[in-house]
Amino acid sequence: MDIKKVWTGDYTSEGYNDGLNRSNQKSSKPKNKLTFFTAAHPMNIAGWQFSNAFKSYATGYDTGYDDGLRKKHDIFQSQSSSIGGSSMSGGQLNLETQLMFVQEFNRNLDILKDYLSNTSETYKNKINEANSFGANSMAIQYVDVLQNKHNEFDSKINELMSLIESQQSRVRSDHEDKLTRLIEISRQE
Amino acid sequence: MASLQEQYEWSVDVINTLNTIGSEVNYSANRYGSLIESLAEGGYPKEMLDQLILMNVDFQREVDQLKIMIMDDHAEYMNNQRQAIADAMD
Repeated sequence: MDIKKVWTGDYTSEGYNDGLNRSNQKSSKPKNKLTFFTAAHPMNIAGWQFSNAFKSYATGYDTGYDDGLRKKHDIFQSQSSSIGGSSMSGGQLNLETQLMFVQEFNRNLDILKDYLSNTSETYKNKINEANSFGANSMAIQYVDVLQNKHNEFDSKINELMSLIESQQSRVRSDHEDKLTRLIEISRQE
Repeated sequence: MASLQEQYEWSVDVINTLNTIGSEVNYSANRYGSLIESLAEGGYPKEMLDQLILMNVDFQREVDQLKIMIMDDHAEYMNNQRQAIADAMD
């Protein structure tokens, strides 16, 4: 990959091509910018120019996607409908299934939170086993360093847990509640 | 005092624990992404999907930092200590 691209984080052309290919396929597909993670260099994903890399990719993707739709003579628009102000692609998952997917998404985040809190405890217990080896053992010399590393790890885990909890709250209020309202409206119609 | 063999086994256990944590965190991150992918494939409303994609980006960034911490720092440190114990056993 061009080192200049990694340095500047400009993925406009990759985004354009991916967006164009996505919408220009035989059966129209909704946008999926997760392809950024395969298009971008690991350094850009890990942090270097990440924001610029993702934004430039997303901008290029949107342009490419629109151009792809134009190529297909606006087929996507003619198959779309609008429910409660949200664009939906025709013939795809119904609202109940979407709600089920989102609820599963949130349940998976619960499992992930449980797992993360357990990992920190397991790691800590494993380090502390060395305390029984005796004051003159080699392993006891590593315990202080490992405990510091564990504290750093535990702090990172707590940050990740907070992020997950705030995301879960957003998924509930912005997604589950909204879909539930849309389902109620569609049943009344 | 515990034998060098016991200490060596402990050091291997710590490394295995770190590897397990790393691979499980990696699996969770992939699972997070694939759930969003399922919603995208299923025609989830675009503006709601975009919000999830951005949430995923935030999540992946945090997970990547965690993986680097576990695999590149902690596991490497412990691997060096494991080697030191192995050298003392020879």
